[in-house]
Amino acid sequence: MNFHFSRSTKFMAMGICLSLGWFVLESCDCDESKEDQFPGFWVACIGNQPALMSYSGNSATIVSTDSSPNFNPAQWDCSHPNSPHYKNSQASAFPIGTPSGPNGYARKPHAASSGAAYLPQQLRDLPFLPDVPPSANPVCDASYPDVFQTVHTQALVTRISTCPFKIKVSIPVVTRPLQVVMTPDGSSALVTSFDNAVNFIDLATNTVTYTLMTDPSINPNGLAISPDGTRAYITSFNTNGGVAVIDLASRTIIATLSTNAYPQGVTITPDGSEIWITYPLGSSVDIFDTLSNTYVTGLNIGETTDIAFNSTGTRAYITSQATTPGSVVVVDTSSYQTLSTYTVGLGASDIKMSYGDQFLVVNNDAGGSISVIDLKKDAVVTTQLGGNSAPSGIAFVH
Amino acid sequence: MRNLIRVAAYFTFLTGAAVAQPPLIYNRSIYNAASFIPAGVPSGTIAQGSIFSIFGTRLGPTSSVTASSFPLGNTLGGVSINIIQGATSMPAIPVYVSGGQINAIMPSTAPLGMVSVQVAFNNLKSNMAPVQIASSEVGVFTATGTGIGEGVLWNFISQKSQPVNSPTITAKPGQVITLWATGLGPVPYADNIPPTAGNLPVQVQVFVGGQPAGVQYSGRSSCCAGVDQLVFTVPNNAPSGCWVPVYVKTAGANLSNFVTIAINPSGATCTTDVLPQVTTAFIKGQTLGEAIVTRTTTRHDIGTIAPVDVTSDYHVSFAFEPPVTPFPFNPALAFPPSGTCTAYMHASDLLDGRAGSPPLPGIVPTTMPLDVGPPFMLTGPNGTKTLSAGFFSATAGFLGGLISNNILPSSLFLDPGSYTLRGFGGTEVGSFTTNFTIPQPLNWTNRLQTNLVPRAQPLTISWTGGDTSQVVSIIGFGDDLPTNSSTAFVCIAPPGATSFTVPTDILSTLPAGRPNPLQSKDVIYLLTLSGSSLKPINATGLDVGLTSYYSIIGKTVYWQ
Repeated sequence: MNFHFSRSTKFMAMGICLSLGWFVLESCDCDESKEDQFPGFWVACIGNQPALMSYSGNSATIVSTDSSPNFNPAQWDCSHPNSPHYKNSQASAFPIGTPSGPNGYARKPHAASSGAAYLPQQLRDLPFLPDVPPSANPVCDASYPDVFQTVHTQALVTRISTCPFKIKVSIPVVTRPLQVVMTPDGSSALVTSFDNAVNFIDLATNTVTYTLMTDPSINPNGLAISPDGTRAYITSFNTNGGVAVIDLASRTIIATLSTNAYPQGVTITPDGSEIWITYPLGSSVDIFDTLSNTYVTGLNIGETTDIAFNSTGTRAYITSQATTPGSVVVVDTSSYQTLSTYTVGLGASDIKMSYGDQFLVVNNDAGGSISVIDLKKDAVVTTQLGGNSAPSGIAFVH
Repeated sequence: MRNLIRVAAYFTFLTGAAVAQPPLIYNRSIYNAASFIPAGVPSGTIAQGSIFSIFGTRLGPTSSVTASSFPLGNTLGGVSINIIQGATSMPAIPVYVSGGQINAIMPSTAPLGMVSVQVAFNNLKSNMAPVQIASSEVGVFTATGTGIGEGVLWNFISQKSQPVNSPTITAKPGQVITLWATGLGPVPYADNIPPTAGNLPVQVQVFVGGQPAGVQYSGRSSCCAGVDQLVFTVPNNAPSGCWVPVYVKTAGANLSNFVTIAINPSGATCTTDVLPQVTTAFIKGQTLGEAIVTRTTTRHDIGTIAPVDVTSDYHVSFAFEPPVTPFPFNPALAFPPSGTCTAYMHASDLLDGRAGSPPLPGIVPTTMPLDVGPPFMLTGPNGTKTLSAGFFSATAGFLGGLISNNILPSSLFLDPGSYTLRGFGGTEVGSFTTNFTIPQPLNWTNRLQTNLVPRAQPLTISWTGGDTSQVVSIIGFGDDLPTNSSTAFVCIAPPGATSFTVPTDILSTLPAGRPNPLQSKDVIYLLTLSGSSLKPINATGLDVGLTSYYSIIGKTVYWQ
């Protein structure tokens, strides 16, 4: 007879092992240097120039200011305070296709070049579905969605068709744009500009129709929009920190939440009940209740950069650069307890969940790699991109 | 010594941190204390004057404290609860507090709509958690304590004899029943004093097996603050069965959780009209085994530009000895009577085929499976297959599939015809050979027209074909992914029927489909148990064994 351990039993066993490991570690009589504690690399602005850094003993040293396989200075902007510790750009997908089904959110079983066909994403999470071999590259057609990407150094947002992959239009915005997110109805895009602005783009005309200039004390960075499209949440990436709550109907800031310094990412739970804030320079994730705009709790996770939720909002997957290589921390969103950790590539930054909750894609910007976590198989595959790649921004287009 | 100091410092830190940490209400963890219906489905609100449960950590004392005398206070065991809406704030009344759970009475004067709930324990305040308040939203207490299964229903025999209804203590048509619940609505007096008996001014209907029951009383129980009693008579035309659905409808719209009552006109232990031998074994704790093969064909055409048909063959087999309990309930085995429907509202994605989403309570047997030996072998028109593992667990597997649009070529196995199932025997169940037949499939005639389904109108499902003595059930799912909330309903068609109409009450328990259909999983399955496939498995160690073939025809829909 086979015996199967339940998940809780496994976690309990894991917890016991971790506890034993902690005592073993604490019994070590050795002294640690900063190099032992932070054996990895990071990027710092030295004289307004990006440099790859590491510790040697207790001293921070410049490894290189030139391009290397894992470091491309061109990817980093040292033109303003505390750079480059923010995301270079953010891409988001918006499905544009022939409307079908309720409200036009349709996916097509794209014909594929190999003669096989592309499986619609929404089939992946219903029961009674056989395993399907991976599809070949699909043939392009107009039903593929577009991707929007900020071009930080050129004050532009580019709209890119994904099939064929080409720039459709470049939209001027306020300088140093950082992140772009579509409204749930697909009518507009919001773009944060570090230089004190939030840009509103009409996606029908591809033009900025309104610019919300913020107080100079606010440096907009992270951006999230509530599922009902009524609120936007903007992090202010500076020493003051804070999250501005914007009423999208009136395009005004209606509340400000106090945070630690340098909040970067803001991710809203699928049901819109909470926002989760990441701190790449800090050691926590902060969670706020959106009904009362009050603090819920904090998670003790270091150098966090991005968060993805599964479709039901029961799990959060948080990228962290506190480890070398980077990691993805899995959190139970009900109890706010850490469940497990995946090891990914160096400098884990952006993270996105695929439809069906099977795959997580992670950009590892410092390592020039992409990690794909298969949650079904509980496996991680990290692929080096080669050259000077430092991936930034993820968007699923089908 | 240095290490000891470090360890001691660590524990000092832990101790200090534990004392300093405020209470934490878990996310989406406030429910009606009887139904536990999640907020994402239509019945997931908290009624004024009802008892609700808060789950979290550090919410109260390690050892639980229960309120024991009137008047109830606003603080219990150092715990208080505030209900906040804008500038309005008022205390809820704790009746049970512990570190992980609080039960409290929502004030009858609580503001309607979205409010924040905040707990304070020893002057440390928790986070604010959102919850929606309604004037009435009934939750019926269950004997299983899970919100589904046997309700806390007292069979009235005399004032001194009112046993709890169960499969072995059945009710008769015409018998008076007392149903225990919470959430009828506010009272016009303080919530912290002994309630005054009397009907509350809210329209109340009780349905038993889909039949309206005469309600003699609907108001607070004089014993307990926040607790309601509904006294009703089992309708004379109520169906018999072990798990006859019962629900309460208030204000003509709001449905409670669905609980069950056992009805037998003779007063003896109940039986069911669907798979009675399985029911008997389940209730008596006899060893039970079933070898199931199934073909599912689902049309996916919501949210797709072109439809996709997915067909797949599976086998599932189980053998176990159910525990003997006064309130046996497993949603997969506790069938409602023919001609009736039941519904389950649950905080999970019930259509998540992978691990991660909690299944309905009671659906996973709590006893170890019996050892049936090596994998079974199935021989039919398409050859022989070993029923090996590969799907969910060691007792289920994939046999073949087909997806249209040339996505997956056919490898289907379970075509109509004659089959032989062989078991080779293990330490607890002996060997066997059983022959059975898979008939021509039933045809769901209005399947393609079942697309956008208004929840406010009855839904008629029609079919032709199949085989004699088949059992047809309609199973619908509405999964609201962003809120992690689901409703599943199960209807059993009467024998020989060629159509069934799902009532609006049942459909009203479903969450509406999201504008973006990728955020909802809405589907109807027409599940047919073939009579010609039901053959006994005669093996040592099994009190009841059966082969069975289920045809499952599915269609994605959009609940409007």
